[in-house]
Amino acid sequence: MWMSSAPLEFKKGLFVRHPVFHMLLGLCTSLAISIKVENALAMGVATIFVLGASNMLISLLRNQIPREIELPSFLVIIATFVTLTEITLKAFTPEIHKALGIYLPLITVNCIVLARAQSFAARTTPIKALADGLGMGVGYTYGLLIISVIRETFGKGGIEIMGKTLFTLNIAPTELLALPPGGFILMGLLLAVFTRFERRRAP
Amino acid sequence: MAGPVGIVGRLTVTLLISVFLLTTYSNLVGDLGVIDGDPALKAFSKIFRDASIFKPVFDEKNDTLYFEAYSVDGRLLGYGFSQTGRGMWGDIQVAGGLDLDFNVIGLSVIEQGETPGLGARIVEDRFLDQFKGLESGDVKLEKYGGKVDAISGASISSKAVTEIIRLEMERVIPLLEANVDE
Repeated sequence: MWMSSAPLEFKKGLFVRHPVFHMLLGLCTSLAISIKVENALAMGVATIFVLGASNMLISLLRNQIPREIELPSFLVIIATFVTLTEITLKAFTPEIHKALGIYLPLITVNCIVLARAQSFAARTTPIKALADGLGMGVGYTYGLLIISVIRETFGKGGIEIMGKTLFTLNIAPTELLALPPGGFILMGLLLAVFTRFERRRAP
Repeated sequence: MAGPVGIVGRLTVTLLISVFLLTTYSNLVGDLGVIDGDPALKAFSKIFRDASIFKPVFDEKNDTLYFEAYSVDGRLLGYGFSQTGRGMWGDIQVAGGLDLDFNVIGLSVIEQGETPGLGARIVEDRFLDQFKGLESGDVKLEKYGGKVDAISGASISSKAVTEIIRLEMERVIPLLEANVDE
C-alpha cells in the first residue's frame, strides 16, 4: 500500500476504507452530533482540519519522536490542533461552539484521528499523510451528513441551517429518529446498505 | 534511540511549544475583541423586541435585582432577569422577561453545557415558547402540576430550566409588587 500515491491515499477514505462505515471508528460522534445538519457540517470541517494538520505534523516529526513516547506525543499534537479549532470557533461562531459542546474537545480522543496518526501518518511521508487525513476527514464528514440529513428531515420534519429553514416536510416528524435509539437503528441500517455496496464492488 | 533524559526532554519541549502556541493564539483572538458585551443584555433585546433601554435596578448593596425594559419613547414594557442554576452537566444560565402583569413574555438560554441532541434542546423555541404567558405558579413540569412539557429524554435539563425560572419569578415578583404599590 505504501507504493500508492497521494490521490489514492485521499480516495481510500471516501469508500474502501471509510472511517465510519468500513472501519467503524468515530461512532460516538457520528451518533451524537448527527441530529442537526448544521452541527454535523461544523463537526466535519473541524475534524477535517484536525486530521489533516495532525497527520502532516506527525509525519514530519516521525523520525524525531522516540517509539516509547509515541502515544503521548501524538496526543499533545492532536490536542493542540483541537484546542486551536476550539478557540477559533468560540471566538468567531459562538453559536456553533455551544451546539457542539463537549464533543468538540473530544475530537482529541476520536479514534479516527489517533488511528490515522499511529497506523499511517507515523510511517509515511508528509504529503501522503496529509492526503490520508483529508480523505478520512471528508469521508467522516459525508458520513455524518448522510446520517444527519435523514435524522433532521424525518426526525424534525425539515432542515434548518443558520436559522433559515431549508425545507419542511408535510408529515408528522418521527421523534424516535432524533433520539439516541433512532440514531443506533439508522446507523445499523446504513451499515447494512454500505456493506451491501462493498460486497457488490469486490465480491 | 534517545535515553530516558532525551525522552523526557522531548516530551517537555513538545508540551512547552504547544502551551506557548495556544496561549499566544488565545490572546490574539481575545485582543480582536470578538468576544462581546454582556450576554444577558443581548438576550433581553431578543426577548423584548420593541425595547431599546434596559435599566438595571439595584438594591442597597448595589447588586442588580432585575432590569426594567423601556421602549424608545420611555414606556415601561416589562422586567428582565438572568439567573444561573445547575443543569445535568454544568451550569445553565437563563434570561427571562416578564410583562407588566408579571407573566412570562419570553426566555432565552444564555449558557448551557447539556447533552447535545437531548438536554441541549432546552435552547430550542419549541421548548421555551411553552413558558410564554405563564404565571409563576404554572412554571412547573406537567408531572408536578405545572404547564411545561419536558423534552423527552431530557427531564433533568427541562426541570433545571423550569426551576430556575420559577425561583427567579418568586424572587422578583414580590419586589416588583412592592414597587408598584409605592
